[in-house]
Amino acid sequence: MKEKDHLQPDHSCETCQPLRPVNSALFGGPVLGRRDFFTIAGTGVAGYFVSPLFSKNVYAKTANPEGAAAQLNGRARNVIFVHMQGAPSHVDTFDLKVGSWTPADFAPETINGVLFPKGLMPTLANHVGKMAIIRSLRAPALVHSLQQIWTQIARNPTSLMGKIAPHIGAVVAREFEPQRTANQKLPGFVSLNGGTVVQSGYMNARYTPFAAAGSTAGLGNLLHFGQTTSTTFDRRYQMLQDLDAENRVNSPLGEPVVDMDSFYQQGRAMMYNPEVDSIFRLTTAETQRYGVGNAQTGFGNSCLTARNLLKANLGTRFVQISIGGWDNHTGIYQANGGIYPSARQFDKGLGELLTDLAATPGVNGGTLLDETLVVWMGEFGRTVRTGAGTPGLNGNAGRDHFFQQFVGFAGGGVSGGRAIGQTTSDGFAVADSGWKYGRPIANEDVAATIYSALGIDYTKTYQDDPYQRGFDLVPFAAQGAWYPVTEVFQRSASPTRPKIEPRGR
Amino acid sequence: MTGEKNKSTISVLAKRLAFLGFALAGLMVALDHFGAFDVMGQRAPRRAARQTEITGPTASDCDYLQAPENFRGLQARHRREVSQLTESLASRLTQDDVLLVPPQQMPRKNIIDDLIFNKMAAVGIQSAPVCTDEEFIRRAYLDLTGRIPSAEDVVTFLKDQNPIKRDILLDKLVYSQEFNDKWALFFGDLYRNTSQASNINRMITGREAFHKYILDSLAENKSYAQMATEIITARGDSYDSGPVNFIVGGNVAMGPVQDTYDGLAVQTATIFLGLSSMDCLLCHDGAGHLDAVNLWGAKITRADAWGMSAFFARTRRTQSTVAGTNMTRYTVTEATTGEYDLNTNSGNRQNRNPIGNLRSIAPKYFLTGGGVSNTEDRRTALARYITSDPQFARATVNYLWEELMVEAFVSPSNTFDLARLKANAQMPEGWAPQPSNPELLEALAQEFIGSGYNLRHVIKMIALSNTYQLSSKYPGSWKLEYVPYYARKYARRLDAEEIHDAIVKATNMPPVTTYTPAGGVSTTMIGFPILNEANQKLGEIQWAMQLSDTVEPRFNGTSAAFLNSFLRGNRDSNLRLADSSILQALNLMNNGFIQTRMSYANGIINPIPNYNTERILSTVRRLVDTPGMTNAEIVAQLYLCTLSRNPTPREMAKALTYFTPTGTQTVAQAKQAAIEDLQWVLLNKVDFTFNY
Repeated sequence: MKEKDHLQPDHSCETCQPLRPVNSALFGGPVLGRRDFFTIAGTGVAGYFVSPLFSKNVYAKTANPEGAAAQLNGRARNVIFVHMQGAPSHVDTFDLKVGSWTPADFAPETINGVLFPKGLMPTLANHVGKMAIIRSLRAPALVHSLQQIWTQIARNPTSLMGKIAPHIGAVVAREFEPQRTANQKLPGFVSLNGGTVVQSGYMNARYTPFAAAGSTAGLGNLLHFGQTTSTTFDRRYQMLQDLDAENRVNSPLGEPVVDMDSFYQQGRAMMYNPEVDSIFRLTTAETQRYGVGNAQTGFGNSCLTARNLLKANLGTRFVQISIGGWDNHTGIYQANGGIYPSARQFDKGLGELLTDLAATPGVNGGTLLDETLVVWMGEFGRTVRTGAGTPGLNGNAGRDHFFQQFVGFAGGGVSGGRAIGQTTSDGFAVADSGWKYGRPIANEDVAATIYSALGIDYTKTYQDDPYQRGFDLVPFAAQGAWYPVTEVFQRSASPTRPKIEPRGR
Repeated sequence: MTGEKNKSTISVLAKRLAFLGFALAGLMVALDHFGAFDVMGQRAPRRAARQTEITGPTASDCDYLQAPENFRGLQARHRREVSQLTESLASRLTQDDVLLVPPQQMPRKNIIDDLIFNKMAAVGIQSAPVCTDEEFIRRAYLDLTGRIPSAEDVVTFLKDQNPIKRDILLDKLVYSQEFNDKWALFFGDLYRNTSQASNINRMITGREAFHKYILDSLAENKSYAQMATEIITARGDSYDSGPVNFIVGGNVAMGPVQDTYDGLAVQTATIFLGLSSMDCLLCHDGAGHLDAVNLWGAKITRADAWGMSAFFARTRRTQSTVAGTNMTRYTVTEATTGEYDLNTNSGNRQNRNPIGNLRSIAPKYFLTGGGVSNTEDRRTALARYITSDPQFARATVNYLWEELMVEAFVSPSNTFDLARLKANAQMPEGWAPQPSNPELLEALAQEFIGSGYNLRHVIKMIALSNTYQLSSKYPGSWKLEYVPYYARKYARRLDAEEIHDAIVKATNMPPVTTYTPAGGVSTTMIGFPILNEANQKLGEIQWAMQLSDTVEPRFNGTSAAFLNSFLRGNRDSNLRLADSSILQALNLMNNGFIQTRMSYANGIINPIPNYNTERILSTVRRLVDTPGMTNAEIVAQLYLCTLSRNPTPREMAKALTYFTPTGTQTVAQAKQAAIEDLQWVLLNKVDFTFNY
C-alpha cells in the first residue's frame, strides 16, 4: 500500500485497522452523551487518547481540505493569560443559564447579544463589547492538576511530549527572543499571583516564567537587602568582578558559565532601576481601584502589575495571572462565599485592566489593548444538573466538575461583543460549535488561537526536544488536528455552522 | 526513505529524564550547530522524522529529510554540553602548573583505570593530571554526601601526609549518615517519590514511608537486588510500608486498568532495566518505529511488551480515607485471578484487540521469555527475573556512573539498546556499540553482581579510581571527541539542595523555622519540620539534602522559594534542571536567605526556649569577633569555609586591600565591612555553584 493511501479515512489495512476508534463516544470527540458520562464519571475523567492519530482520524472529516497551512492573525504582540484555577462554573459566568437557582443579585442582562450576569460582574459588564466568548469549549479531563497543566501546554500531560512540554508562554518567550532590544531587561514570560504554573519544560530556563509579585512595597529582590541606595551593592558587585574576573570573562567555549554571567548582568540591570521598580511598585490608589471594596487584592495587584509590565515594553510578552477559589462543590451561591469572592476580585481586576489597556497607547499606534490578547479560562467547567438529572445544583448546593467550559478573549485583534458557539439550554453539551470546523473546540485549538493572534506559526515543530520526536507547538496542527478559532478575529460570524446533535439525552 | 519499515519513526529514546536527578534536558537545549560526531567512535543513530503512523514522511513533510543536520544524537548533544561546561569553567579556574599526563604513566587504582587509560593510550589521547587535594575533598564531599566539607575538614586533609588519605576519606564518607541522605535524594528522584503527582496523591505520610524505606535500606547497605525485589513485590498499606508507594505511583488515570498495568511496567523497566523504550512498545511494535534508534527495540512487539505488563495484572490498589481527615491511604494486594485482557478501546493507549483467538496475555519476561506457573506470585516472579538479569546490574551501574562522572556510558541513561551492548556485537552497517566504554560497563556490572549488589562498593570504587580523581582542568587542546574517553573530570552545576546546604554550611547559619502543629502552639526550631496534611508532626530534619520531596520544606517559605529557584522540579510534571536563571542570580545577590547569612547583625541565633540548642554564631560574626586573627587568616578562613580551598596569592592580595579604612571608617568598621563583603562575594563566585 502506498503511503498516501493510509491518509484516506476509510481505507482498510492491517496496519491501521486495529488502531481505529470503533463507534466510541470517547473517541468521537469530546462531546459526551449522558450515558457515556455516567459510564466514566466514576473515575472522574474522560477517556482521551494520547495518540494524535485519533485526533487526525476523527477530525480529518471536519478538517479544512486545504490542510493545515497556518492561519495567522498576527495583530497581537503580548498575551495576558488569566487562569481561573479550580474551574469556574460556566453557567454562572460566561455561559450564563438562568433558572430557579439563579440568585437575584446576578441581575442577568443581555449585553451586545450576550447574556451576562451583570450583578455578579458589574465592571466586566462594561467590557462585553470587547469580548469574544467561546462557549463550545470542552475539557478532556476533570482532574484539576492534570487539566490545569493541559491548558498551559496544549497537550495531554501524561503523553510522552506532555511530560517535557514547556508552557505556551515559554514558547512565546522563545519565539520573541530575537526581537528583544538591548534596553529590554525583563524576562519574556512572567507569572503573577502563584497558582499552578508550568515551567519551561525541556527548553532553556531563560524561558521559565519569572514568578513575581507587584505590591506597594515593590519587588523584593530588586533591592540589595532592602537598601534603597545602591552604594553597598555597587561596592560588593565591583568586588565580585575583581575577585571573579578570571571566572567570568567571555570565552568562545564558555556557554554555561557565560550564561550564568549574563544572568548576573541581567539581574543587575533590573536592580536599582527606576523603570523596573515602577513596574512592581504599585500605588495605593491604584491597588484600591483594582481591588474590591477599596481593599487591594492579590489578583488586582497582579492585573495592575501586568498592565505596567506591558506598558513599559521592557521585553515581557506573556503574562500568566492565576486566580483560585472557583472549586465551588458546596454552597456556590452562599452570601459572600461560594463563587462571590473570586468573581468579585476577577471582575474588578480584569475589568480595570481592560479599561486601562484600552486607554494606554501601544507601540504600534493603537492602544495597548489592540496589541495585547487577553485570555481567561478555567481548567474545566462545572455540573449543571441535580442528582436527579434536572437542571440545578448538586445535593450540597454546589456544582461538581464537568467537561463543558468557556474561554474568553479580548484585545489583540479580537472582534468583540459576541459569543461563539452555543450550549444546550442547560449548558450540558455543545449545541452549536460556532466555527467552521463544526466540532467542539479544545484546549489545543485555544493554544493555536493564541499563537495565531501573535503571528506565531503554531504548525511549527522544534527539533531540539530530548526525545528527538519533534516538539509541535500545537500537536499535529500541521496535519490538521487542531486549528485557531479565527472566528474570534472576524467581524461577522462564521458562514457555516454545522449543528451538533447532543447524544444520549 | 524507502519501504514500509523505515517510514515512521523517531521514537522515544529518552524517557523520564527527571528520574536522573540531574539535568540532562537542561544541557541539551543549545542545538543550533552540531558538528559530525561519527568520529567519536560511536556513530550517532540515524535520525528520521517524528512519528507519523499514517502519513509516512515524504521529502515535503518529513523534517528529517528536509534538514537531517538538525538531528543529532542525544548522547552527542550531552557530550558537547559536558565538554563545553567543563572547558569553560576550567579555563576560568586559577591555573596552577599542571601538565597533561600520558595515559601509560597514569597509576592504575582498579579495573576502571585499566580500562579507561588503556583505551586512551590506544587512541593516543593525553590524560588530564590527577586533581589537587583541595579539588578532591570538595568534589568527593559533594558527590558522596551532597554537602561541602567544613574548613576544619579541608585543613586536616591538606595537612595529612598519609599517601592513602584519599582512600581513607572515601571510606569515611561512604559510611557517613550524610551519604545516606544524599543517595536517598538520588533514589527519591529516580523513583519519583512525591506526595502529590498529577496521576495520584501518595499523601505526605506515604511519601515519608517510602523515603524512610530508602534511607533505611541505604543505612543498612541492603543489597540493591533485595531492594528492587521489595519494591517490585510490595504489598500492604502505603502508610506502613514504604515500597508500596512505588506501586501506588504506577497509577495511570483516565483509562482502563490495563493502562495502569502498563504504567507499572514502564516505571519498572525504566528504573530497574534502563529500558524506557517500554513506553513506546506498549503502544506499538518496535518495527516501523524504533528501527533507526534502537536495534533491539525494533525487534520487540507490542505483545512482547504486554507480557511485562501482565506481571502486574493481579496487582490491586484500594483506597481509603483516614478517619476525620482528608488524607488518603492505599492498600496494595495481589489477587489470585485476573489477566491482562485484550479488550480496550479507550484510554491512554491504542486499543487492545484480541490477537486471533487470544483474548488475554500471559506474563512473559521479555528478555528471557520466562513466564510464571499457576501457583507462583506474579510480581515475585518478575522481581526474580529482573534481579537475576545482568541488564539490571548494567542499568544500575550506568546510573551511578552518571551521578559521579556526569557523562553516562549509555546516555540518556535509561535508553539502553540491548543489541548494541558489546564491543564485538554483530550489527548492521553504520551502527556502533552504544556504551562509550562497553568493556568497563560490563566490568562494573559484574563487579556490582559479585559484590552482592552493593551500592556503596561500586560508588566507592568509582570515586577511588584515578579516572574520577582527574582534574577538570585540561592544560592542552581539548577536543569534543575526547568526552567518551573521560580524559578529564567533567564539571556540573550544583543541585538546588546542594547550593542551599553549601550556603548554610559555609556561613554556619542553619535555617530556623516557625510552625504550628495541629492542636499545638507556635513552635520555633532549627531545621525543618515534616507535618502531614492534617499538620500532625511526623519528624524533623536539619538539611535540605534530607528533604524527602521537592514540595518541602512547607513551613519554611524562604528556604522553599530559594530551593525552587534552583529548579529542583517536582518529580512529576517539571524536570529537575541544572539551568541558571535571572532569578537565581537575584536570589544569590539579594535574597534574605543570603542576607541573614552574611551580615554581622544577623549572624547570631540565640538558644530557642524549649528547644535544645546552643547559641550559634555565623562565620562572619565569629571572624569579626575573634580577637588576634590577622586579616590574612580571616580571608583564608572565609575561602576555606565557602570554597573549600585557600585563596590564591592574587586573590589574597586583592582581598586584603578591602580591609583598609576609607573616608571616616575606623579600622574595626573597615574590617567588619570587608568580612561581610567578602562573604557575599564568595557565595556569588562562579566556582561556588559548580562541582568541578
